[in-house]
Amino acid sequence: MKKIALLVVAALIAAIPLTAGVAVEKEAYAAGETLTLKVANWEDYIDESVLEEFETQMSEKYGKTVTVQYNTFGTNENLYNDLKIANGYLYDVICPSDYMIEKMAKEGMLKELSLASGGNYDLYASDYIKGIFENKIKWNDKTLADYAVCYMWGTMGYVYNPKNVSHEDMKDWASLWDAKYKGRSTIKDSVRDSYFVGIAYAKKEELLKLKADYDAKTITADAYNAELTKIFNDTSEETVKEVQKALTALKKNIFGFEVDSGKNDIASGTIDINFAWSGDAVYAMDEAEAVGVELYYSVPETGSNIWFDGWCIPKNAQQTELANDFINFMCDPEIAVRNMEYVGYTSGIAGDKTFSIDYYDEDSGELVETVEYSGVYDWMVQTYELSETAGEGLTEVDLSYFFGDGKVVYTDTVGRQFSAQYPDTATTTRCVVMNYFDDETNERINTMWENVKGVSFPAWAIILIVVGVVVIVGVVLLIRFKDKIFKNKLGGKKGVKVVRKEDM
Amino acid sequence: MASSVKAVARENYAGNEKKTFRALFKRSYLAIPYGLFLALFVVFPLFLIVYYAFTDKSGGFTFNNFVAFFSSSTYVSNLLISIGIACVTTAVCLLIAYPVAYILSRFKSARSYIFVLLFIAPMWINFVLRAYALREILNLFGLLGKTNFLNTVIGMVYDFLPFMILPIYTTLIKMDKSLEEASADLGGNGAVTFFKVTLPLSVPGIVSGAMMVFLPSMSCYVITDTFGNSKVPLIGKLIESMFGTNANWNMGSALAIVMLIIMFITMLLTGGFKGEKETTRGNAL
Repeated sequence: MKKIALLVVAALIAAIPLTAGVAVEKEAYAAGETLTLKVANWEDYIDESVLEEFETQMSEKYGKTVTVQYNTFGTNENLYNDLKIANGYLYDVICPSDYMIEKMAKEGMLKELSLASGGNYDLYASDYIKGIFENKIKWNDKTLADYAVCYMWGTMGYVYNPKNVSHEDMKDWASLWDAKYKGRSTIKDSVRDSYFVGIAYAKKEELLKLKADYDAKTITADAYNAELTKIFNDTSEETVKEVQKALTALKKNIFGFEVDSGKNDIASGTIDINFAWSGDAVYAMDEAEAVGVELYYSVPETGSNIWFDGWCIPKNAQQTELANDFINFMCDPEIAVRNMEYVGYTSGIAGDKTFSIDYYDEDSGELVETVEYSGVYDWMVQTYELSETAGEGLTEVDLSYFFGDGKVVYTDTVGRQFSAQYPDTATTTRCVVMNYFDDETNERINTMWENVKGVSFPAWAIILIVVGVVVIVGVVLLIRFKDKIFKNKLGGKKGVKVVRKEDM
Repeated sequence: MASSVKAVARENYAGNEKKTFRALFKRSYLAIPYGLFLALFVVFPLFLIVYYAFTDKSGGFTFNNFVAFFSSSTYVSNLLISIGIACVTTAVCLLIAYPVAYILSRFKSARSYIFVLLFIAPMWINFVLRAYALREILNLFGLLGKTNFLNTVIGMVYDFLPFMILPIYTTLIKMDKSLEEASADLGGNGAVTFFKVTLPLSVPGIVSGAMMVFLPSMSCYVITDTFGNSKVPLIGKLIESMFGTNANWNMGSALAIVMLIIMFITMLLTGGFKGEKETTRGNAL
């Protein structure tokens, strides 16, 4: 008997993870001989060995033991909730996305950054990234640059298997709705990302017309991008309705919604089309390559989403100086490259600084080679075996927007990892930032998304089901408690003692 | 451990009348950790949920969260689907678990616990791992992405089956075998004995098993995400998104309250509140 009881206890213990909720860790910081920097970053979004290096460097600088307490979060909203619940101090450095930085800044949850000129960001960050942070994303009299330093950025597009999907189809968002690919594609289980696809479908005519104008050079690249931004950020009630219609139709045609399983499903061949973030695309392509499958990445021609994740310091951070050091450290070209090699997304750092990276054999752990690079650009050229001169069979990729004038490379493999990690000018021109929605808009769009994801029975069916359930519940209750009811009635009127069956 | 404590208490009782109070008092100390745990992680959060459910974003009292819930056909449909899935899962679990528990309880061998172990062991493997394995199996049969509701039920049954087997098994082995013998003596054949004696006596086990399957399967959205590709709406997922992306804790709490009420109704229906039969119920469960 005891054994059984033990088993039951084990069963209960096994059930705990199912019901475990969000644990909130609140720890008062006590100043001492050690300095602790609390970092919150996305899952799998850093090469953790750089943290150790940071600890070593800072311990020397401060003459105290510096430790990094590294935390991860799954969504921007979770990070926001964590900070809200803690009502102030929880982390010293965080890494939310563009729209969440704006939301947090507006709600006074972030400190304004005061980066020293001559620091790594100043020296090495791409002018393109700086431009976007300083001019593109702004509200009231503030810009993104006041609160954040770009860590990684990327685009959204398709990862697809060209064996089952034509390259031509992957230039068009509408292919997701194509019955040809029924049950072969996934979209994100995240309203903001999927809203984008919905708009691209609902506003296809408008977007095509705009593209034609741009192709005919009647509008400039800047004007084109500005127009696209307007369309993709359209949240009028009418548009939301159209998007809901589009996405509801799409739901029937796709394999499913995902945020995590898609990159593995596309690599394993469970699906053929995965609507993905560029870094996940790189990951999926690497994974598939290991089993001999060639996947491609494509950013559809009518426009897509470009996003930025940035390091910020929360309002009540305790280690502001150390946090600034951390941000500076992350902007070092060597560190940026090491992180890029690990996560597959694109760092905002583009500068030149000589460094070398040791490569180890994954299985044996032995040092294979040490490669010296003169900077991020050089790393990219060597890693992707790019040519800096034109040649037969090579396609020109203009990266001057990111690395500076004259940085044009030539590659023989378009649409693969390199294209996903470093989109060319043409691609970034048609990629737009998705703004932050205010609370009212957010609620409308979330409701739209719930309607898309859920099933809505007609009113008569609901009433029928509810009445049915109530009747069943009533009958069962009546049977259950009939003894009691009878007892009271009889007992009160005639004084007859009714003995319940169980009591006998 | 527990028995030795009891022994000490008994000794005190017998040896010295004055110590009785102290002995009892000390024993009640043992409940303090549980009491603290309960207060901190059950009662306090419950109050928070009630608070949020009846307030709006600015903190003022309101019924609007509930009104919004019951006036949205999407939400109500979502709830009905969840209840439906939970009902089907419970029924399927019962159909599979009862024969298994019955056979297990009839093993005469002293090593019968090994067979019980065989059914319980899978629960010790990380659920995420098991879920991915099952996902691949479903994919192998070509079900993944096509039959989302069926996949969800398969996943739920796979996950919750042990919770149904165990309570039934415990009631069955605790059952007085002489009752069955008496039935046979009085001329009842196997079927009659089963339906007139064994089944009614195992009802408490069935009830606690059903409770343990029904309630979590209404909200275990990990399973619909993994096997139903997030295409099957579940009330648990809705609550999660209310606290996550929607940042609407008030609505999320209201949903949680609605679920709580449903839970109470279920308990009422199955007699979960009736204490007098505790001894025959699924034991530690």
